[in-house]
Amino acid sequence: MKSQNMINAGRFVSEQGDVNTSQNREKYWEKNLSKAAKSICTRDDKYFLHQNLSTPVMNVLSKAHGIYIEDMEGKKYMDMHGNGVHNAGFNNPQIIQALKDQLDTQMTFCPRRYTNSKAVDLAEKLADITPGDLCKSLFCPGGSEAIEMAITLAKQVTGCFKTISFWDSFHGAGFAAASVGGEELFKGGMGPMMPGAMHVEFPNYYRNPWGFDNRDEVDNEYLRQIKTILEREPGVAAIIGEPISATPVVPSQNYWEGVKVLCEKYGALIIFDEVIEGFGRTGKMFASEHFITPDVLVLGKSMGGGLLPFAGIVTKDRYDNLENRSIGHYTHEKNALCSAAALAEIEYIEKNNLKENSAKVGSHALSRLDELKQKHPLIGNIAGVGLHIGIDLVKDPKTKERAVEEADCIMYKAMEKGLAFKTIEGNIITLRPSLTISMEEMDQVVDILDETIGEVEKGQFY
Amino acid sequence: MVKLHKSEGDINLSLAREKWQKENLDDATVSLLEEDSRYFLKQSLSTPCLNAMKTCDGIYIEDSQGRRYMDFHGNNVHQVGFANPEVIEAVKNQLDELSFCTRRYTNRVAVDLAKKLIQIAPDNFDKLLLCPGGTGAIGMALKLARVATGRHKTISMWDSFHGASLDAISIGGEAIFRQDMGPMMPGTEHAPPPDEYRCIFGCADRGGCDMTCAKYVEYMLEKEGDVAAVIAEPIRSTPYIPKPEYWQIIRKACDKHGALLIFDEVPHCLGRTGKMFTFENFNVEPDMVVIGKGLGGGIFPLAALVVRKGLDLAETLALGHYTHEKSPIGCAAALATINYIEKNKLAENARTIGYYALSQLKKMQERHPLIGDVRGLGLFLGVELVKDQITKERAIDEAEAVMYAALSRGLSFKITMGNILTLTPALIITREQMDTALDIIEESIAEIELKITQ
Repeated sequence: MKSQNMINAGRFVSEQGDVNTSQNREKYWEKNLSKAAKSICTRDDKYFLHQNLSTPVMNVLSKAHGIYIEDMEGKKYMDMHGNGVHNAGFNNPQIIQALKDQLDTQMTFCPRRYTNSKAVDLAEKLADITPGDLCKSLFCPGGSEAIEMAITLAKQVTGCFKTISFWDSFHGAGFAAASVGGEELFKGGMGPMMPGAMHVEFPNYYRNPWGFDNRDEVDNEYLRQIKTILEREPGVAAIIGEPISATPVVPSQNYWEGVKVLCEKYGALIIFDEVIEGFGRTGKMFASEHFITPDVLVLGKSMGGGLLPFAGIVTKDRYDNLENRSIGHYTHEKNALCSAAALAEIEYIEKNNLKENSAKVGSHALSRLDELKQKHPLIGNIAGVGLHIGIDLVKDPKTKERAVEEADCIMYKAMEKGLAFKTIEGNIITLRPSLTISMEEMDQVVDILDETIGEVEKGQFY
Repeated sequence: MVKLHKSEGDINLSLAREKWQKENLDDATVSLLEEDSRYFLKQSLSTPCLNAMKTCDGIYIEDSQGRRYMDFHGNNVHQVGFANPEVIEAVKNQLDELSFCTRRYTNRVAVDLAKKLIQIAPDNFDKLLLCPGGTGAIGMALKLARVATGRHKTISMWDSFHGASLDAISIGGEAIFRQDMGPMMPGTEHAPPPDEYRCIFGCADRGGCDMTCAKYVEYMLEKEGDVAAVIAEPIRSTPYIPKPEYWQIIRKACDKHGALLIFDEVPHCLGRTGKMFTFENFNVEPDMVVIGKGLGGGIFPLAALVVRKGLDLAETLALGHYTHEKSPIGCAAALATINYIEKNKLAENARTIGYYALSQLKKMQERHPLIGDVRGLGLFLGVELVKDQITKERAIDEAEAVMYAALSRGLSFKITMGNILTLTPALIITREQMDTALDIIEESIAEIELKITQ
């Protein structure tokens, strides 16, 4: 089919995660999956539409608890990915109890013209814990929809429709979310996307095209590019970005402050997507707190307690002027179960000092990984903050050529040793464990990485 | 000037609402509503809210003052009734097993649900994809249509609703979502929907529907030549029930011009129209069908895109990159829901009670000049109120007054297009309960008619 060929020509297939049709994947299946697991995988193949990053799947899960996922044979894996829902750990008993209690009240659904006390409690809590003057919420089932609500709000508030966002970013699979996203995977072969969605590069201090090694120089160049667009393309409604990129690159505070100055000058809103980074991931309750307060904060994933799909936006009082529009017309808008799960999640994070744990274990992991970097030439760069960490693997520290094949092998080897993580852009190992992880468990993670990276360096590929 | 749009439902800033609230809400409720307005962004159809809920069960919702209302709206999630004990039990049991599944893994309950959905769908359907909401599922369908056809244009219907995201409002046909939003998705064209009562092609003057509206869609398909898909609700939520011939003509035209036919059955799937899939009423099969709302048992946000053979074409792309794609809890809720519908023959009940209600409403129409038209299929019913039977002028203020009058009598429903009472109760409703509801509707209409003549 012609369109299919066009889609696959020169594609950047591993940008979002591991590829589910690789030879290593097949080898892994052969070596590790039991007959029972294979049989469920076959049925999964049969009934679900195939797509990148899900079906055909890696394996079958029977349990998920704490920092672990568990397959059908009872083999446990420390999950450094968890699709970002596991800030309070998988299957958190206190959140499950809150959910069961809520089910017993029979306040299980709230038609949209009614409200309920759980939803209001959660909105109040979010107004309290989100930074600055963010105080008005709107909920929906997923981050993708929440991003669209934020963009819709910005369009309505500014009367403009253009957006600036970042290459390589992911904001969701909806058309508008995929349009502001910067990955080919969601746009290739798709035909026209949302008009007016423009993109710039996210600052990258390790891989910038000018060879700058001074952070200010990098920041200034990227700010200059944004300024150029804002000047030449009047009518930008918003700049949308993750405060820290997914790989992650942690930008300097100067950078976001510079963006804010430009946005204020040209009348654009700043939307921060903290679907992954919110709720303690980066060592603060919200990643924004490292930088600036956005006009709209987008939350999701762990907001549903790792159990339910739940997301939302929190914005400033002055943008609450769209009462004759419907910017988030979602059936489960004020779902009391989801609200109960979110409240329990936040309470758990606060009571157990998970953001402090994230900062402490994260900084320990970063310093240990820096030591590994001295020892392993395959490690080109270590970046991150809190429990949002990336290891950039390179074939050569000088050229920084991405070690894609090596990263894939390390992933499958680590998997067999009980450690699961996701690679991004083909060669970057990302570590985003549950925030409940202990120092000892994190040491195990680093040990497994040390071992597998060493093996691959010695030529022992998967 | 502020424009108030009444296309999708009742408006939340009216004087009638204020009056109703003043007469019915106690201080505690008023204070919760104030808090709600303080912390939530205001938008049409939600905040500021009408009232606060305490609980819901079966066909009822209960407000914080303990008043119970038969909910004939329920955002259409309540096929098996609110807080269905079997669905709750299934969710609780699943919470004790696996509560979340990361996306590169699968799990048994997700596969079981997939198998079940393929089993209840007609033979030609063999694959599906899950996600948390109908809007997302519509987006997946549009993407797959683009991939499958190599085209991007769509034909959809004015007045339709498919969700709140940019692609969904682009194919949707309501100003409340589309106005002042900047450019929509390119290539999204619209046709007038089938509506024999208010046909824009004037078929009433020619002695009734002669399928001009279907032929117009065919005309558009031919003129564009490269439309990827026709996407529509098989039954409009107003509701208008087209003749089977309407969809048969469009099905044939799609085949002729290489376009796919996508049905959005989010609000009426799984038994509401008397069949598991709404399209089964029309003797037509789409290429893809999107279901949602009640699929999650009225508890869990869940939707699905179900497609016919030959459309599993996007394995190297990300059609529906949703975190809770194969949620074990959502799937457990959905399985329990479908089992409950089958075991208790809810589709049959919807057909029987719906047929009975429609015939009662037709009799009611003869007694009340305010009723211009009644129509429906299964438990998806509509009562259109008009100021004048001949001009068919929409009785908008009257409809709102009837709604509040019914609310005070313990019956909740939604108004669409400003003047149409839409009645979509839980499918577990009994004939006695339906009689009670119909009595309330008639009393409320009579009350408003009396006020008009006074």
